[in-house]
Amino acid sequence: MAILGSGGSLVYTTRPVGQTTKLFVKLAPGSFGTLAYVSWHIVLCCKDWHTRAVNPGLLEKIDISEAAGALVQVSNTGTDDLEVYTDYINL
Amino acid sequence: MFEFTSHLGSNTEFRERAAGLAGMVPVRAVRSFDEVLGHMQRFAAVRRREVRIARLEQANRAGAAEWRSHRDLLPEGITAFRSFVLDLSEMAKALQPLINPSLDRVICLVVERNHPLRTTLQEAGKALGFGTDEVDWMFEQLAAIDYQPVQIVCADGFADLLALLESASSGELGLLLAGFPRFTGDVPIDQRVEKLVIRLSKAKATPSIFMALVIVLTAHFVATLHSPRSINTTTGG
Repeated sequence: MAILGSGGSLVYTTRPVGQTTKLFVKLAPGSFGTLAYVSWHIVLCCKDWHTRAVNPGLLEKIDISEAAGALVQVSNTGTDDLEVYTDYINL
Repeated sequence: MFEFTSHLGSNTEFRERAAGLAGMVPVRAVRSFDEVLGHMQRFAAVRRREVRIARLEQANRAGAAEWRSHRDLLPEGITAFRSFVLDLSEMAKALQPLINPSLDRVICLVVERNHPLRTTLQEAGKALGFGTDEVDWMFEQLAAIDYQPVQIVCADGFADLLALLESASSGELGLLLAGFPRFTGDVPIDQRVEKLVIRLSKAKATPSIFMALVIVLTAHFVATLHSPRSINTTTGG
């Protein structure tokens, strides 16, 4: 698990095609969630960025299986610190 | 496929900008890039087949049988791509003195749609098995980083370019991933790759073998121009 400050980014790898990879995000301790957002992007040709609000008290579960073995960049695009991890190996 | 080389070699702008790099051309003999691309012909055929099957499947006109027969071809395609990446790495190492931010002055000639450098790089992309839309994407990526791939890719040194090449998938997890970075398991390399991904994303760009290809191929053309064996036409561009 990593703490991702505002504007910070991390890169995760994903499982191959046919298997699922989940990204988990929640507010870091001491954050209030007034402007908490996580964005992610599959590091392949022509992929768009996605953004989701991170709500207080909730663990956001994001399916990033579409990456199917590619890297996924995860960025904190809000102002609150976030806790971020995946259910697959991390760097 | 590099019949454009003489066209490029006679281009005035290319010659002028490449002249500033003449003193940096390594003594080692310039290797034929056609030889390097030779690996790619088989890969390109297999990749095009994969794209075609995927499209037919979306239209419900292909299924498991097509994928099964396709799987038999994959190892050859993957091996070919891996050989290509290794060759490109070797070329990059041989051309290292040329791979500095001054090379970006040459690369930015591709901003002109009909410039022979752009045309040659387009042909190289297609020879690698990438479609027109993907090659167009490559140039959009270059535009996103203001046509300064060396400055951005090699921000933490030449080792960043080698890390990008080292991390390039050969398509082991699917040929559509070939050329894009994945983690290697070597922590220092993966840390460089992570920084590279994040650095490029700030310019809304994505690292890929395309970026490395543009850098290494342009350096190769500059070296070829200044090589005693090169076609030194002076007819103007």
